[in-house]
Amino acid sequence: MTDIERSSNEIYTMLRKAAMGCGYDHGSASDIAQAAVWLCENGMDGVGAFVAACNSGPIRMCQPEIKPQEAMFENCIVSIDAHSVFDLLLADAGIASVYATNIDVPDLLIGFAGLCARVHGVELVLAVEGGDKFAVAADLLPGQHALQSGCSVALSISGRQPQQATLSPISPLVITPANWAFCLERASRTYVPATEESRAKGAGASLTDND
Amino acid sequence: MNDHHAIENEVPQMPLREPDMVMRLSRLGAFYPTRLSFMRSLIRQLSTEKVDVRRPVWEIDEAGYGRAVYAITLGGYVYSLVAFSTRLSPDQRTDRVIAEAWDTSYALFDGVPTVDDLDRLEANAPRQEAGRFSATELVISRANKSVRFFDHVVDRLAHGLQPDRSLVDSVGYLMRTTAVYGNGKFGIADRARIEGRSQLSGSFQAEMLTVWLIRGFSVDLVEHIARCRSPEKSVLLDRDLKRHLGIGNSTGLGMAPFLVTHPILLNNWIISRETALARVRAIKQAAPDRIERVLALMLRARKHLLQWSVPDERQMQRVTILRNEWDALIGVVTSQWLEADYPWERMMALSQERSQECQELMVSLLLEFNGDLVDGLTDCMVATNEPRLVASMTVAALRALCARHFDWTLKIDFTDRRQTNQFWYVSEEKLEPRLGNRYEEPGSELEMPLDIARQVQALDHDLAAFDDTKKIAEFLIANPKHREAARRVQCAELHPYSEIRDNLLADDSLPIDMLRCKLSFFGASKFDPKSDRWTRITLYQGAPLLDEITGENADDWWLPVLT
Repeated sequence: MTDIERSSNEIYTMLRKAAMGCGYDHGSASDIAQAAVWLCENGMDGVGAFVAACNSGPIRMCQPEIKPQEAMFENCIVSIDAHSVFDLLLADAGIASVYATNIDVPDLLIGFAGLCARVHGVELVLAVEGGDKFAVAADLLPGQHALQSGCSVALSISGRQPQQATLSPISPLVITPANWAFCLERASRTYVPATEESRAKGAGASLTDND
Repeated sequence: MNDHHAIENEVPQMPLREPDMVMRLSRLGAFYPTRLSFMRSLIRQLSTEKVDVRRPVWEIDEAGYGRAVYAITLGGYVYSLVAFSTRLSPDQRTDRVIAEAWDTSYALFDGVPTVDDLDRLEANAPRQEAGRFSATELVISRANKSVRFFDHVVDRLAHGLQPDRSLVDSVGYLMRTTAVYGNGKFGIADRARIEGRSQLSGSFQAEMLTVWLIRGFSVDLVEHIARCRSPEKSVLLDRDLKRHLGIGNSTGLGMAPFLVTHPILLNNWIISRETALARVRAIKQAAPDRIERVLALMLRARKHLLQWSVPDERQMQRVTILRNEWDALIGVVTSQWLEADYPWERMMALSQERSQECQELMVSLLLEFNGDLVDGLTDCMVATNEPRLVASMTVAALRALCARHFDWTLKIDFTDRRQTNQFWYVSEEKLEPRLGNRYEEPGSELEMPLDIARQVQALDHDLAAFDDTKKIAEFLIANPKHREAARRVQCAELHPYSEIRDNLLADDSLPIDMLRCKLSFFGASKFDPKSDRWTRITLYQGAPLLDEITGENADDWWLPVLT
């Protein structure tokens, strides 16, 4: 099957609903979807990362170990922990570095970093244990960084930059049919079956339309 | 410039009306279109730029079926409305979103479409949601004929006669749209594509342009069919009748969640309107030409109200009361009365003793003749950011914000079934937002998160049990479900008009009020509620026609009347 094209807004809307269909609260679902879209807009497989995150395991509580100057997220499940990873870095609580180990979907963590950079006007540095060290800015992911599931990363804020709201994707974004089908199925879990009663109350109902 | 304080400091003004007053659902449901409304600002823009509307393609047969293209150049960009008119059997004609076929369908194309583009769109536009579109399309839409009236107009024109004026007045449009889609829907361009183009970067400007061009097409189509039917005898529609024909629209619950899911945008719409009002109220003395103008506009409003009759009992009762109140105001407000200091503040005060419909009509009136103070605020009616979480805030500070901006939520008793009677959900049927009765209908476990009041109350409850000195970052580790509510409460500090200050789950909450608020910002008039969940409206009634955009009166169509 050939890949399919969708707009940024279509992807965001679908992924937000799909995340809620997976059981995430709507605030987290919104952030997960935005992180995935950020990846798509930067040429990465954001929807693939989203699907991997949804398949990663049951939703659990986030339980970091917080010390005076750092925090540790062991066995990091990005869809659950990433919100707090970046919250703690931005909390002005003296936490300069956050460590995430055995990360399930590292690409989605990069998406969260991009989203954080865009929304809060910061530049982040990600240092992969035994590997790369690279920066993520609002609309800039320098180079491609193939991070393996299970890797460990240290994150910190390296600077401030003007806040940016959105990118300007002119071209449609490309995704695989299988991943899209997964999202459609998860999103459909948030839909309520139609009934005659609900149908009868909608716009245009109960009037002749040939007037 | 999107924030409250930035707007406030520019021009002398009275204090803004408080959010606790303005953001109540009943007041939002009494809003009227103003010169800040998006249709008005678009027409001013088109007029300023002296746009020329061309019709490079007209492949419509004698029966009125085929395709056409209308093109304008705006800010250096060409935009083309591609219109398709197709046969539709009466049993397929429905205004429901769940419809699958329409009399006409449209795409606003970014540029000049090639024949291949037209063929591609011809295969997709008539299918609407079932079609796929590309990033060269900015908006898609569809419209059904107001069949009996459309046929009446064709028939009369073909016989060399004008249509019945009373029908023109009572119906008000040849076609009504049932959806106007923008921002990436079904593969069309994301809004980002036009965000940098100042002429279309305002709220819903591309959508409003599309509807204005559709209105032009509807008139051309009716005249074309009449001419084909009787080439010798037919006449064109008289201009005054033509100008009084707008585009109808059926709007339901699908539009309502937008006001909740776009809090900063809602704030910016409302605060611009409130700032405009505060500026006008601060004028100490009225110039003679303004006095003359306001008196003329008050009489126009009276005529408009007399021409606004609807079957809905609730709305008709409100209109009837308003007519009486307006007459009483006309009796008080004379030239002499307006010559004393602060005339507009005193007019506003007069309206305060009357219904909310009257008060909000007064707001609309006061803005109408003060374009010099008002029109620049349209630049503030966009939002480039969504609410962001301030993780560094303390629990104590967030609790203080709850108390300052959401005290109204803290008083609601959510154990009372009346306060949770309704739930919003997405129907699997064309993914249409709907409203159910929690205690009688299935699906409440899947409700949409529009229960802001309940969410904030729950947030406040859990904040109270947490260490006041801790940061929100830590609070959310233990309470991740409050992420969105925390973000919204923080948002309200900088954006005080970002929340509807009523419980949208309550059994007495009326979605029609949300629809009217949003539609008033579009510029719709003559609200014609068909239930508490959907309404018909008219767009662009009285607006300049396609060939009148450069005329002197291009901006003078507030509350249009047929004389």
